[in-house]
Amino acid sequence: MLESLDLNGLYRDLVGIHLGRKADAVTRLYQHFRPLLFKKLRYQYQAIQETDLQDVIQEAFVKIYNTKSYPKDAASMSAWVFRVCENACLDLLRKAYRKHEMEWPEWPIDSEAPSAEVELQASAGLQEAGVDSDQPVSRPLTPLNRAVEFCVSSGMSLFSSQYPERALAISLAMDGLSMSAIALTLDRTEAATRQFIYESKKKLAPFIQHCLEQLR
Amino acid sequence: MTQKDDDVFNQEEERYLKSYYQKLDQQWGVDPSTSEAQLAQFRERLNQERTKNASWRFSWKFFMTALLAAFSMGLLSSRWIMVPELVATRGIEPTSHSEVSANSPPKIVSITTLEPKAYTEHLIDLTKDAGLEVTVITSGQNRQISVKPFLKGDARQDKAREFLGIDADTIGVVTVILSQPSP
Repeated sequence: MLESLDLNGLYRDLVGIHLGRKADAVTRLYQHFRPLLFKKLRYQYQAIQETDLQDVIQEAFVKIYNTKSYPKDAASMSAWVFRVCENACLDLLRKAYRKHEMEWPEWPIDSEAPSAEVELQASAGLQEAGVDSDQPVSRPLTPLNRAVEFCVSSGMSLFSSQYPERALAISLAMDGLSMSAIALTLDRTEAATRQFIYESKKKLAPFIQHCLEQLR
Repeated sequence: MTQKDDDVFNQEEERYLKSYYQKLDQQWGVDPSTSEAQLAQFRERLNQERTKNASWRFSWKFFMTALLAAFSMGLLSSRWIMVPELVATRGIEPTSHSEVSANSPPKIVSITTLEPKAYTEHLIDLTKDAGLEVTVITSGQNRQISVKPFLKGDARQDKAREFLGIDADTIGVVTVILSQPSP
């Protein structure tokens, strides 16, 4: 996705004086960066309406069109676009929150392993679906066994609300994105991102392990 | 880092997770690429922005042009208004005095004499019919006399030049300071 971008050409058009080419460059940037930005913000601010978020992202790219400060070279452009857009989005969202006098949602701070309460809630999901977690589920399973899926969903939704950035990292990895694209989205180095994804999966395991055991 | 991502979950568990995230993304409206409709909407928005910027730039350019035009008109009209006044303050000869004054530095001649009054009267006599204007400022027995304009090659002014002891090619304004010797 991002790898296919001709960054040098885009950079030339973006910093050039030809306004038509600049508009084209911003449109191409929007086309390529929007999905990742949207996904990141969607995971981060789950309470915000999808259409509002789309609107905010468009506004952020309009800001990119109007900006007079550019990245120093083509190589640093992807990170620059991400940073500028993310900051613009956050500013716009903050304004919207202030306008509606809502409490600003922060990234939840990573805590240690899930509490007993979390595990209890996840187990309750399994029981609610009529599955006894001590009893193995017979195989073969349907593509997504409904009871297990329900249990997994409960655990995952708890995990997502508790660790939105980690949930995003796992989701991006599941999408099959390149490590460089995930690293760009998470604003980390590739090595740190690889480690972060691994640790995120380890953190996720206690939330859903008891559900997935039914598959074994 | 040596661990592999798939160390934590087995293949089937990974499949479940992937499936969950796909459903979640669908539910949250997360799409893997930007649709044509979204692109068209953004293009429209960008066009509106460009039009807005262009109109703003146009109004700014218009304002600057108007300002420059007004300034230029002011300059031109001031020339027409000012010129008759300048002509009126100028002098005796058709030659521009101010031009001669502007192109030549002022010359000062200091003379000590027992009879400043007689000296002044004689100087005035010499400047008569020589196209020179004499201004005398008196302070006690001292006098400051301004004689102008000495013009290049004007033979009528030679006597005055000789009397003042200035070079034959002196032009412009000559200031003569007359004073009495101290007792």
